[in-house]
Amino acid sequence: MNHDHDDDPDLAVLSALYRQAETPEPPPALDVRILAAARRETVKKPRWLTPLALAASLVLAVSLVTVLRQEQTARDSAPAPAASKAAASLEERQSVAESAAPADSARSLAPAAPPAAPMVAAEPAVQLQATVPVPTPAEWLAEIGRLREQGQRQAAEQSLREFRQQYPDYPLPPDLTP
Amino acid sequence: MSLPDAAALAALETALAEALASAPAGLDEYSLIQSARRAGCSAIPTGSLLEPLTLFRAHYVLFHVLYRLRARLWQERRAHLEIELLRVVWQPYQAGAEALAAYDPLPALYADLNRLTTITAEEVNTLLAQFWNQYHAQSRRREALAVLGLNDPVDYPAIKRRYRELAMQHHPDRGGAAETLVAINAALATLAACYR
Repeated sequence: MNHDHDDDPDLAVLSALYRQAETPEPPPALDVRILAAARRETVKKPRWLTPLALAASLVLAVSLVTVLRQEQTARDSAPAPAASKAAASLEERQSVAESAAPADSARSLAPAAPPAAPMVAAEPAVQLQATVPVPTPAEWLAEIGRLREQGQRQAAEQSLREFRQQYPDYPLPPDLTP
Repeated sequence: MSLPDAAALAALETALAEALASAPAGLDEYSLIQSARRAGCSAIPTGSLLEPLTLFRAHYVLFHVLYRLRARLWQERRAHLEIELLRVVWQPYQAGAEALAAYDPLPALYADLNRLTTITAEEVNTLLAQFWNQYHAQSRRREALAVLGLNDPVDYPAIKRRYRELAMQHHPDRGGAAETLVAINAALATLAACYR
C-alpha cells in the first residue's frame, strides 16, 4: 500500500505506524490513560486476530480510526439540530460520557458548552473517549505506581500532574502524596 | 444482529462497483460507506459510525465485499480494484494482477462474515486502544528524535552517540543551559523506552 499524504501529518503518522507494524510491542512510556485501557482490555483481544499478525490488526485499526475521524468531522460540521433534537442529543452524550471517566464527563459536559458542541475533542486520545475505555481514577493511580516501579519517573510525574489536574480532590495514596 | 443475506451482499457489490467505476481518482472507505447507504444497501448497518459495533460491522462487510468484487473483476478480466488502506481505486484490468493476491493476507482477514456477529464492542475498543498506544508512541518518538536533531530511520546506538554529543555540548559544567540538558535527557529516556 502506498499513499500520497505528505500534506497530512496525521496520515503520515498512520502511515509510519503501518510501516512499523512489526514492532514487537508498544513502548512503555505511553499516555497512561490509553495504556491502562489497553492493559485492562488485553484479555478481550479478538482471538481471530492472533494468527493474522500485528500488521493485519493494525490495518484493521487504522481503517476503523480513519472512518471514525471522518464520521466525527461530518457530525461536527453538520448544521445544529432543532432544539428538541439537541436536547435528546445532549442526553445521549451525557449517557455516553457518564459511562467514561468522571473527568471526561466533566470535560464533555462543561456548563458553558452548547448542546450542539462536539461530543469529543480534536486531540486523538480524547477524540475517542466515547469509544476507548478510560481507566478509573484508581486504575490511573495504579498505572502511575507501575510506571514508578519501572523507573519511568518522568512519565510517572507527568501522569501524576495530569491526574491532579483532572481529579484535584481525589485522595492520593501515601506514596504519591507530594 | 443477523448476517446479510446473499441478495444484500450482491446489491452492495453492485453499488460499490458503480460508485468506484465512476470515480477515476478512487474513493475512501468513508465515502464508500456513505455511497452504499445512499443506495439503500441493507448489508451496511445503519446507525452512527461512532458506535463501535456499527463501525466495525460497516468496515468489515464493506471490505468483505470489496475483496469479493476484486476477485470477480479479475475473473471477468474487467478491471483491477486497487484496495489500499485509505483509498480504493478502480483501474483498468492488468493481466497477472490477480497473481499478487496470493501474497495479500488481508482478504483472509475479511473472509469470515460470522465475525459480524461474534465481535463485541469491547474487542473493537481493544483494537482502538492498542492503536492509540502505538500512535502516541510514534508521535513521542518523533518529538524525541527532533530534540536530538535526528530523524528516522535511526537505531539506538546512533541515538546514544548523538545523545552523548549533545549532553557534552550542553552540560552546565561546560557552559550549557540546564533546561536544554533536561530536554535532551528526557528525549533519550523516551527513546530508550522504545528499545526495552
